[in-house]
Amino acid sequence: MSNEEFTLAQAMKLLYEQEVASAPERHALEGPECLRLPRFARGAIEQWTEAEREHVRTCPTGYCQRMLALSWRGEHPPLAHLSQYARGEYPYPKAMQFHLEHDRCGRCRVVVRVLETLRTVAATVAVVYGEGLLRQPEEAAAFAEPRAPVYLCQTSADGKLIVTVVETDPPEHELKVYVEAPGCGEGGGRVRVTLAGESATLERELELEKTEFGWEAEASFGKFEEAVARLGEDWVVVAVFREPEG
Amino acid sequence: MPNGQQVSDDQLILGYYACHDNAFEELNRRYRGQLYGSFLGLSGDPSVADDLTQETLLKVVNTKNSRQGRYQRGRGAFNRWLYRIALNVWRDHLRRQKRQPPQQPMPDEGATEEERRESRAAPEVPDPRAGPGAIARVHGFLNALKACLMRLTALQREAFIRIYWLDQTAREAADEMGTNENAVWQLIHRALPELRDCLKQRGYTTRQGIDEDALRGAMANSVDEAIRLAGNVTFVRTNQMGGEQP
Repeated sequence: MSNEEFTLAQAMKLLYEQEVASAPERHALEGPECLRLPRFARGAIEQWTEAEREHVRTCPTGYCQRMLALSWRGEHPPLAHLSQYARGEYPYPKAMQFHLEHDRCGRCRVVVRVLETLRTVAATVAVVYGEGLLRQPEEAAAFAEPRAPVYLCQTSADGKLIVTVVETDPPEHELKVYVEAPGCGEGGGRVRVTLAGESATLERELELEKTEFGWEAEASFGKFEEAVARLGEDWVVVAVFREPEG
Repeated sequence: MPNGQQVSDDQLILGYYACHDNAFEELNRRYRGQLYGSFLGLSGDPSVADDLTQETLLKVVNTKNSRQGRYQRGRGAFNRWLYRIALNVWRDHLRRQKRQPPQQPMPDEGATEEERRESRAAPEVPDPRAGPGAIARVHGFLNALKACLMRLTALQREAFIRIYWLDQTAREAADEMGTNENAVWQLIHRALPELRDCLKQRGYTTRQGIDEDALRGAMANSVDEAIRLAGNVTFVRTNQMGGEQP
């Protein structure tokens, strides 16, 4: 190390000490009544007391809703929260706005957009989460177990729509989505399938066809690796079933 | 927990996992300054540093319910584990910045290299303690160094901070940055002349400008100590024409 590098290294250390010394004791927005960080842990939020919920709703500085939004980074808010927000009923809207607008979460923006359209249209929705499925574990990848092929299935709350997301075998190795509509009337219907990722959105409008098993449709989203590379690590599949008009 | 002696970080995090939230508060107290200082060095923005510090601490909070992500004794020091989380948070932050819409361009987009460098430069806020004399010279120099660091690329800055602030080995830094040791040193060695030129432009030389002994003495203590010692630090401030003034 040259003298100059050594001197700069020393100066860097001094600068670091200065930056550390300049650290405030708490977040700039945090007030004495605000919830402590462990209260924003996964699982703890659902157990907030009424007093805690009320504080977060009305937190004068906005700190608590900011922390709620920060807790979603890399995790995403649950679908029930997005759904409430899309209906205008979410009690912590500033947190959601921070996630959607400031953090610009592409995946949640698409989900909210799809859910908002459902406010005016009678439809059935099923959502499949692809979060973290392809994320490498913390251990060195070389020692990790081979990943199981993706196979996810979800039924809508009313049972009228079943969505299955499949990573097919080689050599095709595609990302395919199958939909079944057990509740579909004789008129058939259409299902819009949206794959919303952090970096891209892929959509298909599917016409249900009657088979010996009922009303079904399927769509390929191309080669699995390519589709997932476009979507990013976290993605979600939203399927919306609409009966034909009239 | 032992009385009358410092409780170790390991004991605290394990205490938190055993549902003692106060143990987390102590960890928060111990590390938030270092986290904040690191994020301030990386981002140059106090509000970003504030949020990323909280986000890191939230991630620690969430490891309580995560089998894979939990801190485990015997697999490296707690502070290394914490900084790995922090630097992942920083990388997520950079990824989020790339998602910003074109109407709010990030400093790195659509600008010339010179503009990019200028935009990264942290504003030189006058230090309230600054005045005529040695203290002002120390703070002036550190502010200049800080501003010059912000003119480096995000990767160069990260390499500097890992090596000089967080005392990582080049191997550790390389592993976590997904590169090799040579690449880390290259980042640093390519940044050094840029730092030197930047400091020179601001009127500070590095080779003759810092009394290394005094700086080393300051290093061993604290910023306040450095200020006290500043009378012995012989920064040489050069004028803009390149001449030197004592």
